[in-house]
Amino acid sequence: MNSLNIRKNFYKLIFLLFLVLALFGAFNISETEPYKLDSRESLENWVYFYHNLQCEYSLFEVINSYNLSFEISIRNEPSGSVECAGKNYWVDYQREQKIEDGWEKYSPIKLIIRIATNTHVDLIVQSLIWLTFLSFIPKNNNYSTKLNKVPIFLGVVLFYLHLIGEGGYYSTIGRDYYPWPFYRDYDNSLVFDNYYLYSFLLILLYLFFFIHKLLETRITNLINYFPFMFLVYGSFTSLNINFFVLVFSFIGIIGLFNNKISIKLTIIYLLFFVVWFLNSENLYKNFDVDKIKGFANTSQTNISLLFWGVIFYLLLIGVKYIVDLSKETVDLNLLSNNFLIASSLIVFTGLAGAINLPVNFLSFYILGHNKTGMNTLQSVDGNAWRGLYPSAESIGEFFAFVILFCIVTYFIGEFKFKIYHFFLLVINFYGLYRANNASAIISLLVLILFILIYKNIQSKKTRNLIYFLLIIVLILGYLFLISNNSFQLLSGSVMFEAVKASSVNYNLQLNEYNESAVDNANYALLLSLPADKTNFSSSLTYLLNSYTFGNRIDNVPSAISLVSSVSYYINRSEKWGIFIAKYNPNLSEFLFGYGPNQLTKYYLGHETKYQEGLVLPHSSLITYFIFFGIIGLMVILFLIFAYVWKNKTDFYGNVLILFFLINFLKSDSLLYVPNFLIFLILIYLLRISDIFVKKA
Amino acid sequence: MKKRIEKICGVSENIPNFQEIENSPNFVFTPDKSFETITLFDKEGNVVNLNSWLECAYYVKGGWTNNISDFFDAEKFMFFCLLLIPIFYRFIITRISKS
Repeated sequence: MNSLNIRKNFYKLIFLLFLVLALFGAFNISETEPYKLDSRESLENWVYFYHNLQCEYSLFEVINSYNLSFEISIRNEPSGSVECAGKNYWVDYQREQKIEDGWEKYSPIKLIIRIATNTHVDLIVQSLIWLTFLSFIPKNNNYSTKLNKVPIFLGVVLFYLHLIGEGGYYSTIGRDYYPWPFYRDYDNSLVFDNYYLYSFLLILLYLFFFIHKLLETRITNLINYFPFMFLVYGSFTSLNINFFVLVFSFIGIIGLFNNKISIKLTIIYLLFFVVWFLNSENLYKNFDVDKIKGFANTSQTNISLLFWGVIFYLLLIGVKYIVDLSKETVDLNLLSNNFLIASSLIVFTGLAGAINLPVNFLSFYILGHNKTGMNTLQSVDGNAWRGLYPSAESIGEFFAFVILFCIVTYFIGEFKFKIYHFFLLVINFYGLYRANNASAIISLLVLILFILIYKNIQSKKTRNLIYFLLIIVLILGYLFLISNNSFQLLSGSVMFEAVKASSVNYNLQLNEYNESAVDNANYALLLSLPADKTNFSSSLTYLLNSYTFGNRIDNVPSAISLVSSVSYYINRSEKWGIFIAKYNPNLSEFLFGYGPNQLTKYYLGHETKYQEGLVLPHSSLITYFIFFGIIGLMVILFLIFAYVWKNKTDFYGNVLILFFLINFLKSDSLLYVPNFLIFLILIYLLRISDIFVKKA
Repeated sequence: MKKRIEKICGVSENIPNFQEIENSPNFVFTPDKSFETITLFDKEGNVVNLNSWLECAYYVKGGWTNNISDFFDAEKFMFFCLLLIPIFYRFIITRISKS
C-alpha cells in the first residue's frame, strides 16, 4: 500500500507546528506583564486591559492569564495588520442576560477572544502548511508528467481578478487594500508603491509554482488521497479562497492546455454565462459567506461573477482531467483505507478541540476550516455535534458515505479488511451518531439492504420483486407518518413559514386571540393587499396564488402540497419557507439562475426578516436552482440520470451516486468544497473507468 | 501619498500645494466647518486635532497617521523578503540536496 510519507517527513511536521506556535506566540514574552485574572470582580478590568493594549499579547498569553470558569472561546479577526497577526485584537464580553420568560434565570457570561489574522500572513503560512501536506502524497514516478508553466501565470491573473472583484470584502479587512498596481499622485506622477498588491501577487506566483512542482509527480496519486480533504479543509482564514479550489482550478487550466475540454459543455456553459452577465448588477455589498467561505461570492460584481464562473468551469475541467489521468492508478483498497483514516482523524481532532481551547483554535487554523470547531462535547440544541467541520449535516453525510464506500469495496473484493479497520469504523460510526444526520443514516441503511439483496439473490425477477416490496413498505410507512397530522397542516407548512419570514409592512387587524392574517394563513386576504405592503417575493406571490386559487383536482394533492408535506417530515418546512420568502428572481434569473456560487443577490436582493446570519436553503437541489435556474437544474439532473441509466449495469457505482442524490435533497453539502469535489470525482470516475463493474 | 491621504482624510476635489505651505512660515489653515475633526498622532505619541482637509493632508504627508501600523510598511518589507526566496531556493536548497 502506498501510504503517506509522514514518517519520512516527520521533521516537516515538527517545523510546521513550530511555525504555527511561533505565529500565535507560544514562545512570546511581552514587554509588559499580561493582566492575570483570578476573580470575578476583576473580569471587566481584564477585558478592558486587552481592549486597550491591542496587538500586544499572544494567544497563549491571553489564554494563560484567564483563570475563571466562564465559557470562553477563541475566534479569528481577519482585519489584523501584518505586525498584529497572531496577537490579541479584541475581547467580546457578553454579560449575564435575563432569559426571556425566565424567572430570575440568567444566561451565563460568555467571552470571545478575537485573535488577529492577516491576509498576507495567512496566504504565506497556510499555503506553506498545505503545500507540505500535499508533499506527503507519495510520488508516482511511473506517471510523472511535464506540465506546462503558462498556467502558473494564468492562475495568478485569475486570482488577481478575485482580489479586484471582491474588493467589498477585502477593503473591509485590509486597510491598505487597493487593487491597482499604480496610481497618479497630485502632481500627476505615477506612483508604484502598492506593496499590498505586489506581495499578494508574488505569494500567489510562488504558490502556483510550488503546486505545479508538487503536481508533476503526484497528480495521478491525488485521487487516492482526496479523502483527507475533509480533514484538511483548506480555507484561508482571512481570504475568501479555498486552497483546493485553487489547486483544482489550476489543474483545470492545465487540462485546458491539454485540450481536455468538452465542446458541448463549454458552449452550453458559455450561453449561461452570457445570460448571467446580462442580468448581473454590480452589488458592492459585503455578503458574509460565513461557513461557506472559499466557495461563495461575497460581492457580486461583474468581475467577481466572471471569476466564479471561470472557477466553476475550471473545477469541472480539472476534476475530469485528473480522473482521466488517474484511470490506472486509482486504488480502491487505498482509497477505502484513507477514507477510514481521514474520518477517524476528523472525529479525533474534533474531540481534542472540544476539550482544549488552544487546540481548537490551532486545528481551525492549521486545517483551514471555515469555522472554529465546537468547544464543547455537548450537541447543539441537543441534536447535532459537528466537531471541527463547519456543518454537522455535511460531515454526517461524509461519515455515512465512508461506511457505504467501504462496504461496496469490500463486497467487490477490493478492500482488504484488517483488524484496525474495525476500530476505525467504530470511530466513524461514533462520528455519524454525533452528527445526527437522520437522512444519511436512513439512506445508508436502505442502500446497505439493497446491496445485500443484490449480492445474495441471484434471480433478477425475485430481486426486483423484493426491491418493489421494499419501496412499497417505505411509502406505506411514510403514509402512516403523514396520517398522524392533518393534510391541511402538512400541505401548507412551507407557505406558512414563507409568509412568516416575509417582511410584511401592513398593520394587520388582530382577532380575539391576537392572531393576524399571517398567523391564520389567510392568504386570500394577504394577496389582496398592495404588493409594496406585503413585500412578498415574486416566487412567494406566484406560489401563494397557485396554492390559494390554483386549479384543483379532487383527492389529488397539488405539487406544492406534496412538497410541503415532504418538507414537514424531513424538517425542512422552515428553511424552504425562508427560501421562498427570499427568492425574488425575474424571468431570466428564474430560467438561468444567478451564476455559480452567487448567493448575494438571492440573499440580500429582497428584504425579509432573515437579513442577518447565513440561513441557507438546506437543499443542494435548491441551491443549484438558485445558481443555474430551472433550465440549468434540469440539464444537470438530465445529465446525471442519463448517466445512471446508461450505466445501469454498474450497480455499486449507482448506489454510491444514489446515496448523494437522496441526501442532496435536504442538505447543503454541494456548497462545501470537499463534498462538492467528492461527488464530482465519483461521477467522473464511474463514467470513465467503470471501476466497480470491472472489479465486481 | 495620495492613497494614504485619501484613506485617512477622505477624498477631496482639492489638489493640495504642499510646496506653497512649506514655503510660507506664517501659513494658517482655515478651519472647515463641514470637515469632521480628525485626530492624528506621530511616532513619539504626540497628538493633533485637524479641522480641515488640507491641514489633514499636510500632516499625513509629514508622517502623521491615525493607525499605528502605518509607521512600518510591513507589506513592503514582506515584498522584498519574498523576492529573496528564489535566490534562497535556488542556491541554498539545491546545494544542500545535491550534497
